[in-house]
Amino acid sequence: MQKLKVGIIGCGVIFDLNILGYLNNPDVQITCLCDKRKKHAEQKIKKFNLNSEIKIYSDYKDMLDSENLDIIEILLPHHLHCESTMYAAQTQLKGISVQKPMATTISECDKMIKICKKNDVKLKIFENFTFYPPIMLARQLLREQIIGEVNAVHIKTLEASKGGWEVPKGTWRWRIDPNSCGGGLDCGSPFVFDDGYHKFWLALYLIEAKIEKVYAWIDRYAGLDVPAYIMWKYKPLKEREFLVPSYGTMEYNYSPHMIIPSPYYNEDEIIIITGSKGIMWINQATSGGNIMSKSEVFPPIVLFKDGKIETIQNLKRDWKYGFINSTKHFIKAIKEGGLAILNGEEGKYTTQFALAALKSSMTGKEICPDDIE
Amino acid sequence: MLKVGIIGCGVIFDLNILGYLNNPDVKITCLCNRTIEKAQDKIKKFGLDKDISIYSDYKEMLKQEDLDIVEILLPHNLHAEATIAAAENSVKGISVQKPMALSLEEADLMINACKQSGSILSIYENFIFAPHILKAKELLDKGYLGDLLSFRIKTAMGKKGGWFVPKSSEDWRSIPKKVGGSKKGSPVLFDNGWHNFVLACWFFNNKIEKVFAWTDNYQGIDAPAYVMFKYKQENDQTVPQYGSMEFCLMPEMEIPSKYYPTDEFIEISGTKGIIWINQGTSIGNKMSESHIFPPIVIYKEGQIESYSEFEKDWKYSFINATHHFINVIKNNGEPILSGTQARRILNFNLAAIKSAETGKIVFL
Repeated sequence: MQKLKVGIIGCGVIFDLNILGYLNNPDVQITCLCDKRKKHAEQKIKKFNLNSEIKIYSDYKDMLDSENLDIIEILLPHHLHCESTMYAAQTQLKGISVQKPMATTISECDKMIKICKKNDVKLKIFENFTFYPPIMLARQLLREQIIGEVNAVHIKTLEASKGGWEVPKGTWRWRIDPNSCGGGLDCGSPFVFDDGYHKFWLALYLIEAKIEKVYAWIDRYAGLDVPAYIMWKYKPLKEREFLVPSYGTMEYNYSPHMIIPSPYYNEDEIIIITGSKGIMWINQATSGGNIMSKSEVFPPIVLFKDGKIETIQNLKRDWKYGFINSTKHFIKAIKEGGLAILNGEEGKYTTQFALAALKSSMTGKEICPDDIE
Repeated sequence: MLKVGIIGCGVIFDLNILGYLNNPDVKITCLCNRTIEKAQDKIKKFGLDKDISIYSDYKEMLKQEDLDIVEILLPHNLHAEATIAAAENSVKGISVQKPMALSLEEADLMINACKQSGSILSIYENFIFAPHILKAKELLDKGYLGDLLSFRIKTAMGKKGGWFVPKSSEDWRSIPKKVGGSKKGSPVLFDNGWHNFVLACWFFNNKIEKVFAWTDNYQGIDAPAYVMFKYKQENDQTVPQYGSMEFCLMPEMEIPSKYYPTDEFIEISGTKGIIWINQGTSIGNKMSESHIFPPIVIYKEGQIESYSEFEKDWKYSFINATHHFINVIKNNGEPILSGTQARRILNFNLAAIKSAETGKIVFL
């Protein structure tokens, strides 16, 4: 079988993780890269020792018109997700992987879904936490009811100021610009809308229920959308209506003098899930494998049930595996059929959830994601 | 020696009494309970002096005995009237079980009565005297994590594994007028929850600006419950400080415990790092043996530290709290929590309940 031809649009920071699943993979071949500044693409070719015949474009439309691609990976600022997806969908591709968050508005999400359906293109909203080995296992265990019926999920994101990779100013700039980041806050939304998209999705994915209402406070500190406190209630499921009502909470804190040693962002996550029979801790994601992982106190998964503590060790903890697995899942879905994770509808609902939280923080009201249009 | 009388011989008596035992500064001279047998049982259980007088009416006890200290362990609706009666009988030290009272009006009456009689009023709070929590406070107060940013407490309520709670202790908690809080009564947010409201204020040495809360209703109790709040911010240059609380229900969960099958998890973020305070009520159980949950874990300067050498039993928080109170009475000091401090906690706690009832932010 011929290799699937892949093009990547956008050679910024996250490129270095999104490319990994395409490397050393007999099913695919990267044939072109695109960046407004060609120099960035050239640097990536060197850095990852890519085939020197890979073509470089500065205009993605040019690239899509000239190359006969099977897969396009879109790693552009959020406000360009919709237009680039729409353009790509009309070039007879098999699959479009667009970086999260899906888009900046729900009407953009709808347009993306519609055009991909019409042109029979598989649309993936790229999300890596779903495929992070400890989270993959945790979800499987939760589905097996290892802690009974889940009724609460808490996702804490720790943001530090140093310890991770250097993020160039340009990468950061568009995230604090409300127009290119989206979300509706005056300060852009590098945390709640951009990074938060991962966590809103996890809140849906881990419990497998929809949201009845969300309420949020999002303050400003150091020009950023933190501290942020978000809580929501899940819609009761019919078969679970006699059980404990389910809720979730999310917290973003920025510690300006804290170090989180990390090969990636100086950020980390702790997820705590409560069920009728026990509690599960998922320790770390972004900075998994760092010094915290080496202390005996933070194994990747901890369970408190049946009156005792159990731990699950020996899971791959480097954050990159979430990216590699996510990309491989998409390639497989294209080759063998099946839905992408996240598919368009999931991506849209996650966007509604995130925008509902942001709207709540701006209006002081409880918002139902279904009402975000 | 200070003469001590205890009113109310229910479940929590067994912990509140401990600090008065084997203590050369005090002597328990009388107990009071509506059903006298319960008081007699306690005398046996703790090998107390057989000469201790037993009363079924606390007013009678306050009149007859010349007490220096009274410990009030009654249902919440009786806190105010019992405190006022003790003050009117010139008891020097009055320790009232949390929550302080049902309303701010009651709290004011208590504070005024004690002011007039010169009594020292203390609202009994044990969590802040747990050895590991005291250590955490000491570290935070000396700036170990920089300025504090956020407070979070999770109360995990299991169903089995703890001590036996007789029906008589449960019953009054299901009566709104006795337990207090919302119109339907708030056995979670107002009774157990009080501790969390205290911890939130005590750790941050700060007042509360606004609060928002949700409480659900599961089998007649006000949980699951979620509270978020903002501390007072001096000006927009200072770090905004927030907090949250979660009261989770685990109706099929076993939490091995010498006391209630409940446990607490606290997480505080500062500008330089994070501290986790693991366990409260059930510290010392199987979870404590696991090495995954040392009482204190700190993440700062890119390193993990933990502190494990503590007396791991919830009872020490009670013993320390009582010793603190006795010292205050001996030395005419200021208790934690004084009537005025506790009134602020009450205001905060009731504000959360009001928010849950109205669906609106409550500003303090």
